[in-house]
Amino acid sequence: MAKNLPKTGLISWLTTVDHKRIGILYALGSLFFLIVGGLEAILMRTQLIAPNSTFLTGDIYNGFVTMHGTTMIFLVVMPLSAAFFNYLVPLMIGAPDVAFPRLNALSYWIWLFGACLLNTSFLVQQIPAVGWFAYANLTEKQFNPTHSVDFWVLGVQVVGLASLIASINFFVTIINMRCKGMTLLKMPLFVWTTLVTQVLLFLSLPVITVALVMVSFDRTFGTGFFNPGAGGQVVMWQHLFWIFGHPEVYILILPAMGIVSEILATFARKPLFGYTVMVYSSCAIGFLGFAVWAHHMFTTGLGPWATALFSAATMLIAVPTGVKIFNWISTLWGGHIRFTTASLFAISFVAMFTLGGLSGIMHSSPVIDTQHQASYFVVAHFHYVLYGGAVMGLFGGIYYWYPKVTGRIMNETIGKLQFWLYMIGFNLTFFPMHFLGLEGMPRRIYTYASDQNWNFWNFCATMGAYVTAIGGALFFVNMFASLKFGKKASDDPWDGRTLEWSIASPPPEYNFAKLPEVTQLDDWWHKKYTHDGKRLTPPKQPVVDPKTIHLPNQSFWPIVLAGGITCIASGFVVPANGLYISIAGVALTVASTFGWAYEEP
Amino acid sequence: MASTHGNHPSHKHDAHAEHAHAGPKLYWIFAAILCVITFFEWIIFKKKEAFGIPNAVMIWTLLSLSLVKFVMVCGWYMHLRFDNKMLTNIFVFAGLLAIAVFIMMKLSLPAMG
Amino acid sequence: MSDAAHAHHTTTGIENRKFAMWVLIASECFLFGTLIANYLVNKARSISGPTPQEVYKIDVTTLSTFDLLMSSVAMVLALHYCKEKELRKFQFWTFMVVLGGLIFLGFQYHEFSTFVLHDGLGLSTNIFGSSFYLLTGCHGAHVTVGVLWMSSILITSLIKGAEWFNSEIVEVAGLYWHFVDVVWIIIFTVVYLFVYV
Repeated sequence: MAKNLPKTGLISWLTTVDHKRIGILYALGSLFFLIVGGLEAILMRTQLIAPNSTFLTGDIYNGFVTMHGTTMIFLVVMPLSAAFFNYLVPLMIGAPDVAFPRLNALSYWIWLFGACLLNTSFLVQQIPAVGWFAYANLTEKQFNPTHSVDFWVLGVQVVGLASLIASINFFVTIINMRCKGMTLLKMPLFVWTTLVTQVLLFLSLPVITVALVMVSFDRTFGTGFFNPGAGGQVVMWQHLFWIFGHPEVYILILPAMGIVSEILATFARKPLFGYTVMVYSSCAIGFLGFAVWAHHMFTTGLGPWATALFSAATMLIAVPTGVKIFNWISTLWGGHIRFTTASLFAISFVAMFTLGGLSGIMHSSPVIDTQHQASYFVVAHFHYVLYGGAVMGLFGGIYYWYPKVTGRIMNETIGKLQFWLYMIGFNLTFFPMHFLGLEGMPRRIYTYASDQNWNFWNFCATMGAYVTAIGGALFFVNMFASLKFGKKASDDPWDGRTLEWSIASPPPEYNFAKLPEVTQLDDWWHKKYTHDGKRLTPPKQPVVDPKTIHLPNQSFWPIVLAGGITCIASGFVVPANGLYISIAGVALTVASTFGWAYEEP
Repeated sequence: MASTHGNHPSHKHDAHAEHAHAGPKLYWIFAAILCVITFFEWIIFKKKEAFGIPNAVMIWTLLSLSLVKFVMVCGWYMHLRFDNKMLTNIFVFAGLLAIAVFIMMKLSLPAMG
Repeated sequence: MSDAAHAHHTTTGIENRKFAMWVLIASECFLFGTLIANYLVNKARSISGPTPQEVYKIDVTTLSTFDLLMSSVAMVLALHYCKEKELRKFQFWTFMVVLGGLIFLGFQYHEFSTFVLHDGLGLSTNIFGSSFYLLTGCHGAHVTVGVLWMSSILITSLIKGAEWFNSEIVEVAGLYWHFVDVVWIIIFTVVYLFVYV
């Protein structure tokens, strides 16, 4: 059955198991939600443009705060990073595909359906309004009686499952499917940061899975996990959430760090400085990421020992992070630098992330943090690292690898215009938030009085958001227009260093006609240039008849199984007969699992 | 079966040679040991007062006995002892990290109330 | 689904699905770690209602622990005979795994229903009960999945007979099964044997 599925058209996309197509699907999905999350931000900033504004009600504003954060984290940065993992990892390690192609497709459809579930809350006007971190016991039924919180809980649960499944897939792929000669320390740094990210995902996601189940149970079955009246503890949610939540922020930043490492090396025409140290730093950041979570909880009364130890661990994690910053700068130093849109975004990552890191290290002191906690200073910090950092890095990646994916180059003029609008807009919005925080403006307030001395900076911040919006619009125009009008790209338009540049743009479905054999780091570069920079003629990919290369069959079980899982989740958010819907979901899930297991892969 | 391009081909060969001897007989011996250990755990629990075992001794004895069962099942039934060390490393790393994280969490929670 | 179709070279020599199962097991360390930690935090925090000391029946629980351990023995034997291509013994021991799992689930059902009907300890009675059911319920759900998996393997073997000795699949299912047993080893000690701690 699976062998007879059409190879073109909509069905071919719904049944694809090709990592490259799945990468494109993730990219399109995440960019759509970038617009959604961006609109939420624009509306929030419009509400805050002046004191005592009535543009949005408090409830709606709280809903946007929640959904903006949830969307940007789970529906933009994570899936956009996944787009890069999907497209690039097999190419960079010289593999024909990921370890489990159907499982890969499953992750995507689960993610997409989970994203839809989460946003259905808008359609039924039950927008979760508990913040993206949903602190207990605000999430209890007595304080949030509608299904809004259930939308959030189940939405996050479902998209989390997508990431968990994918993390196992990519971990096995990276360790087990490398081409001949590619030892771990010859992998591109992007593959290393991806590897560490997968470890963080599969270890930390189960913790929030349990915590979310506990919230669901409190709301649906009357358990008292977060109800002090039943012996539960409100602070338990915070611990469990942040035991996941802190590794999560490294999950958000590590892929972009990998992307930036690749871009800077290419556009400085120099190898990444201190590759081995960068590898160890990435691993150290991942490991230490599990030891610092309670720095989000310094004001909850942890006691002197816990507070001191978490503070020390947080300061410690700045070391490998700082090392990476110096290594990126050293990569550029003395290099033959080309300023393309991609490299501009990558360079700005280094600068903006450093600023975010500086405000972060300030938070690591519990004494100082007590003043910062729940103020706009924190909002400034995390936007500098997540937006100035992760998002800028990801944009760089889009401009850098767009030619590989599409065979065309994005327009550089529009690209640079977008870059500058983003830089100006971003800094105009978020730098003043440091001042607002220090002036005492709390987070998560939908309006403010006019005599607080906050008016001017809020106005600036909103103007910055509008500037960014223009940049964003330009980006989408560029992305779609370049598909048709962009300059045609060669196999290796940037003179890159890694294996994906050794094959056609776009690559054939089978990736490599002959699986590569590498002997060193940046092997592709060394096939093009001798050590003293003389040009060589790299070997061309052999011509093969595509029919001789075995590819995994397409399958509709991933999308069906994803539907089953989402059906189970949906039972929790419907007004009536939820149990039957969930049971139907279980039946569909079990049936799909068997269908999958007995299908010819 | 899967490739023989292991990291330590000679080690794998020895392990398989050893494993060829680890047939049903060894599994039944291990099963008997597991049962005996479980029996001891039950006895220690039931007769704690009668034998005058202090709480701390009971706790550490029971934890140690469980650890022995754990190592036996993981090492032999799950074949970790004879497989690529990477599998053991992944499992042990995850297990120890989980224990460390949750001990840290417990210590960061208020004592009572 | 012949062996030859799946045997391809891997960098570590470990087959992909076996590797993936170990990664899943690593992940489950954190899943059960959270559930066990939550139980230990909450076991003595109930405001009212039955306490663990009042409801646990260590004799019955020890029997169910024996049962699950024996099902693990059956599992290694099933894998052994699958590799040796001895069809009837492979099927017999696979059946014994399923039986062992069902008996364990029977013990769980007996325990839960006693707690609910006899002791008045439901899911939302108190925080001890909620934490207990969440932990052991999750474990029981894992056993159920294992029983379904092993049953499918048994049925596949019964239908396909001597042409199906996919020891890679059986090994991976076995790893899952043993891990579920190992989690119970921990739960038996930390939840039941430590009831007075």
